[in-house]
Amino acid sequence: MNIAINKIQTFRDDFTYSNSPEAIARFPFPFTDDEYKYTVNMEPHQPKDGENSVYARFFDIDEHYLSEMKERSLVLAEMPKRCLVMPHMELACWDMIEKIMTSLAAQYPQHFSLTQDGDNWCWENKLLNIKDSFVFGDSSTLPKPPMEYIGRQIQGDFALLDQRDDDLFLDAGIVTCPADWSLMFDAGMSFSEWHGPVPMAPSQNIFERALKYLVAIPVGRPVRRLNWTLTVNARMDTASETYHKWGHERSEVNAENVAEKVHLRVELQVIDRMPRSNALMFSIRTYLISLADISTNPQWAQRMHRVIKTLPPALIEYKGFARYHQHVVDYLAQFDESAAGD
Amino acid sequence: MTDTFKVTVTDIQTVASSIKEFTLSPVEGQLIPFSAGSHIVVEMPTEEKTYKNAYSLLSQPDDPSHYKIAVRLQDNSRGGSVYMHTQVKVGDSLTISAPANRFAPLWQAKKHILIAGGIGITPFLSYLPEFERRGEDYELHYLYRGGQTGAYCNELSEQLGDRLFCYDSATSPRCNIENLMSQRAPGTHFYICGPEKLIEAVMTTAKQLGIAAGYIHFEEFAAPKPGNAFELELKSSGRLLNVSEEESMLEAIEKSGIEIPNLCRGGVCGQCVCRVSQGKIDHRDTFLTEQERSSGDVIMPCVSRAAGERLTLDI
Amino acid sequence: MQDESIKSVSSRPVYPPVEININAAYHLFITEPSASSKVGNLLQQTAAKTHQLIESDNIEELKLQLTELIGTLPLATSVYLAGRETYMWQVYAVLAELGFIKEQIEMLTPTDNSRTVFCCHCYTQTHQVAAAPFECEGCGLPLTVTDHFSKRLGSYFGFQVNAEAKDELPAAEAF
Repeated sequence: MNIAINKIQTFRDDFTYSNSPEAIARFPFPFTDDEYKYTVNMEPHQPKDGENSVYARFFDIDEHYLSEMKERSLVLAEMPKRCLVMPHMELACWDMIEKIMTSLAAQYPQHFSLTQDGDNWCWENKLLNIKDSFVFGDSSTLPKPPMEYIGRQIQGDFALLDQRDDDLFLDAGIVTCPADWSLMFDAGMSFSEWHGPVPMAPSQNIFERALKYLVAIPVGRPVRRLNWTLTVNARMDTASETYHKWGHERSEVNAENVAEKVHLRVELQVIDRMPRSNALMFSIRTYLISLADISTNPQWAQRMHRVIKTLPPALIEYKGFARYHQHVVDYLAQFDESAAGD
Repeated sequence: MTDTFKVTVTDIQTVASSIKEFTLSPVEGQLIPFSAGSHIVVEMPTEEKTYKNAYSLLSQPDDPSHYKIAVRLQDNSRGGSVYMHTQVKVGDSLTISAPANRFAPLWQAKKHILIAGGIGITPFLSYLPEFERRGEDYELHYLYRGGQTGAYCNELSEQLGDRLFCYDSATSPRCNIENLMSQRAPGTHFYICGPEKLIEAVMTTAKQLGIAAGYIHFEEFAAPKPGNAFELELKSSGRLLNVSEEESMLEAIEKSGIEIPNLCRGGVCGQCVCRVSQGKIDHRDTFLTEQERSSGDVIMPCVSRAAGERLTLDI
Repeated sequence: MQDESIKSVSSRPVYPPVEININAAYHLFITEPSASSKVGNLLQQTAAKTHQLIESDNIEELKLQLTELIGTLPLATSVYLAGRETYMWQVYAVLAELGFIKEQIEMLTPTDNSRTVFCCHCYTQTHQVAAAPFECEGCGLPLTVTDHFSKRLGSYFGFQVNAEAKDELPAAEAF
C-alpha cells in the first residue's frame, strides 16, 4: 500500500481533521455483536483483513501521520511531563526504539530506513525530514531522551510496563492522546491500581486472569484488542490534564450537530514483550471517525445503534457521554430498521 | 505455542565432569537478545517421544550471534539430559523456543545476593554482565561438588574477585546459610537457583531471621514430577491415550499429534489450560485460583495429573 | 471523568488493624509528632533494645536521618507508620527509595479523614482537604475528588467538577 499522507490538519481549535473515503473504509470498527457485551477480546497481533487494513503491519502509519505528529509536539510543548520515564526503564526504551525502527524500516521502506553496523545505527524518517546517527543503547548520542525521540515519530500513545513480582507497573510512557486518564497520576501504579477507576469491575477475577495472561506473554507473540469510547469533536488530546478545556464540549451536542460533532474513538491496543528488558510495550493507536462518516456504512450505523442503546448506565457514565447519549441513539436510529418508534 | 527457531550446535565443551556447555548458533540471521535470567526450551526428538527441557541462557544477553546453555547429566534424568550428553554432536541442528524470563533481577534492590547450587549457576551468568553494566552491588555464593558440578569457577573468580564465595563440598566447609543471610541491611535481595533442598534451607533461614518473603527469589523450575499412570480420554475425538508414570499429560497429548499452546511447561504461565469434563484432578500447578481448583473443571496438563485412573479432557 | 459515585476503587488503600510482627528483629516506629501516641500500644509490646521511635514531620530531614540509620538496621526490620494518610505515603516513598519492601511497612489508620489531592490540570497538590469540591491551591479551579489514589504521589485524583457545565457546582461535602 502506498499511503498518501495528508497535509497537516488540526485536532483542536478549528478541528480541520477529516477522514478520506479510504480511511473510512479501513476504520477499525469495534463492534462485533448487536448488543453490548463485556469482553477482553484479545487476539494474536497478526496481519488480517488484507493489505489495506490497519492490521496489515505491526504499527499502522496512515494519512494522519503528519497531523498527529504535529499535535503531539503541541501537547509536549505545553506539558513536557506527558512523557515520563523512570530511571530503571531506560533499557526498555531502547527495546522500544529497536522494535519501532526495525518494523517501520521493513514495512514502510518508502518512508523510513535504518542501517545498522553493530551498535552504530543510522535512522532516516523521510516524512519528518529526520536523519540521525547514534550508538544503540547510549542515550547521550540521541538528540532527545529515547522514548521521547521515537515517540515523536510514531502515531499513538505508548506505555512501557515493568514486570516484577508477577505484576506489571506503569513505569514509563508518552501519552498525549489518552481517553481521559493521566500518565503523571497513574505512573508507578500496579496493574490493578491503574485500573482502579474502571466501573462495574466485571468481577475481580477477570482482572486477575488478564494479568496472569499478560505476564506470560512471550517474546514474538504480541496480542491486540480494541477499546472504544465517544469523543466530542475530533480532539486527540482528551487527557484528564486538559479536561477543564474540553469538558464543556460534552454539553454542546444537539440533534443538529450530533452527526458531525460526535466521534467514535477507537483504540487499537497492542501488547508486546520486549526482549532485552522483559518489559511489556503497550501501544495505544487512536482512530477517530465522525458519526456522519460511520453512517456512510449502513451496517456499521445499524450495529452501533444497537450497541449504544443497550449500554449499561454505569458504563455510559464512565465513558463520559451521559449528557449526549440520547442524541447519539436518536441519530443512529434512522439507520436501524428495527428501531422504528425509538 | 511459542515461536521456535532452528539452531546449529557449533561448540560443545565439558565444563565440569557432569556438565556440558553447548553453543547454539542461528541457522540464518541472528538470535533474539534476551533479558538477564532468561531461559529457552530445547526440543529433543527421540524415537519414543520429544523431550522439551528448559535451560537458562548463560551467554551475553545483548549478543544475538549465539546462545550458550549448560546441561548437567542428571542421575534421575527423564531422558533430556542423557540425550544432550550422548546424542548431540557439533554440527547437529536443534529446535529451540524464544527466550522467556521468570527469574529477572529486581532493579529496585540495593544489593543482590546470588546463591547458586551446582548447575544452578547458569541463570546468574547472564545476570553478571547486566549487573556490571548498571553498576549494581552484588555477591555470588556458589555451592558445588568439586570436580563434578563446579563449572566456571576459575573464570568467575577472575571476573568477580572478592565478590565470589565458593563452597566446594569436597574440600571446604559447608556454606552456613544463616551467616550468609544475617548482618544484611534493608534492601538486600536473595536469589536462589539450585536443588529444592537449597531453596528450602534459604526459605527456612529467612523465616527464622524474620526476613520478609519478598526478599527471597527463586526460579520455579517445576519439572513435572512423575505420578501414577492413567488413561486420558479426549472428548472431541473419543481418543484414548495412556499417560505413563514418567510422562506428563501434556507430553502424552503432544505425542498423539495434538498441539496445545504452552510456554513454561511448569504449571506457572497458564497457557496450556484445558477443560476437564470428567474425572478427579491432582492439581500441581501454581496458576489456577483456589476457586478454579475446587471447581474441578480446569487443569494445567503440563504438571497436573488424574487423581484416579481416568480423566476426560474437553479437547 | 471518573465519577465520584464509583464505590470501590482498587487503587484506594485500606488500613487493616496493625499488629507487631513478632518475627522481626527490629521495630522502627515513624510518626508525625502529633500521632506518636497512636503507636504507644505497639511500642510497649517490643523490647526497648529492639525498637526506636522517630517523631518527625519534616520529610527532608527524615530522609537524611533514615539514610544514616539504615546501615545499622537489620534486614528483618519492621516499620510502623502513624499520622495523616499523605504523611504515611511520603514516608513510605522515602523507605522504598532506601530499599525497604512493602511487606516490611505497616500503616496505622490515618489520623484524620483529610486528603491530599493532586490536581490533574496543574499538577499541584493541595493538602488537608476536608471536603469537596474545593478550590485547587494551584489553578483555583473547583475540584471534585475521586477515590483513585496514587501511592507515588500520596494523593487522590482531583479534577474540575463543573468543566462540562459551569453552573453545575454542587455544595461541598465532607469526606
